[in-house]
Amino acid sequence: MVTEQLTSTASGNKANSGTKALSDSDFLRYSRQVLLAEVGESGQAQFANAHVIVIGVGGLGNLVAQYLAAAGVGNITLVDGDKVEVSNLPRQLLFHDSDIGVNKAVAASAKLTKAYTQVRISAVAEHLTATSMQPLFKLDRQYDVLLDCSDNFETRQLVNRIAVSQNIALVSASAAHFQGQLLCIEQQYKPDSGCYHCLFPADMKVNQTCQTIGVLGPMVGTLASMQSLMALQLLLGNKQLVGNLYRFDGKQFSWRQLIITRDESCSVCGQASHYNECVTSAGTANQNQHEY
Amino acid sequence: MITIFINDAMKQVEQGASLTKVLEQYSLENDIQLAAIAVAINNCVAPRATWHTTQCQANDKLELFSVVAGG
Ligand SMILES: [Zn+2]
Repeated sequence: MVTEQLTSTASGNKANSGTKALSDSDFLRYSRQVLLAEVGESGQAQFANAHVIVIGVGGLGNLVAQYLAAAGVGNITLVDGDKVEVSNLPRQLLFHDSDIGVNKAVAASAKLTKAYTQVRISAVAEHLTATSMQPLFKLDRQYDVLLDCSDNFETRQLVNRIAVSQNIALVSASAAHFQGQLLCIEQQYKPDSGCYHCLFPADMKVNQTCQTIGVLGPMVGTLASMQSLMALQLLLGNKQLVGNLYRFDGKQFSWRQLIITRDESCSVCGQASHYNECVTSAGTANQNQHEY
Repeated sequence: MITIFINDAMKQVEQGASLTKVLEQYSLENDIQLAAIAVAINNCVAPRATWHTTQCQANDKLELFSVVAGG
């Protein structure tokens, strides 16, 4: 009875070519996910074939990595140059006292690999920089989703530049004090939404970091859960969240939703808008000057 | 003068006032750095580069927020 139900919902789902059928043990393990018409057997196979990269394995990255690994996302790359500190433990739930001093990406990867043998988790024990990113992003369309779980504005700008230049869907979450933000950008799918830099230019003044103003664990957890859910939706092909910014107030328990708009003069994603201008101004004398 | 709303609070501004002018005034009155503000008008984010050319209309709902970068 249950099997029949599962099969019928799965067959109603758009099959992803090249994905292999689930094994019996995976079918059982992921049965509550497969039961969803929006997931089905093919959606679960899409999770298994996906490769996501998580930048930052702090409060957000801990939970995001665990949720995605538990859901059966097949390939997860964790990037963080920081070591576990005692002040991380109230919200970075994968870590314990015995992990203090160990690199976060390495510690998280070891635990998740042990807990979720179905998935491949790799650790990059380095901060993301213009140099360290080179070997990570050398192949075209290497990752299905880029998850920004970092803890500072500079890294967030770099992650955005990578997402734009590599055409990777970006799911960016942040939390500090009682404020949380979550947004999704995908240049190819929704260029009108622009990028993170259109929303928050690099010269913007930033006041809120966990180090200086504090944060409660569940506040970070709320954003991490939403970020994980958004990533899974993207992997299933649900793109309706792209181009939205969600703001959470952890005191009032309110969510606000805004539409992100491209800044035509953006120094990061502006080239595409320039390209569009050239296309729409066909017939003018300079139409052949720009061939991208 | 026209009435607009800034973070749900009613506010009188000059007819045709630019977003830049409104936000400059707000940042002074509330002791917030202008460089720390992002803004949405009627639920659509207004990129900083458009502030000086955007005129506030009666009943516009402005939502001011700052970037949260922690994680
Ligand atoms: Zn941009």
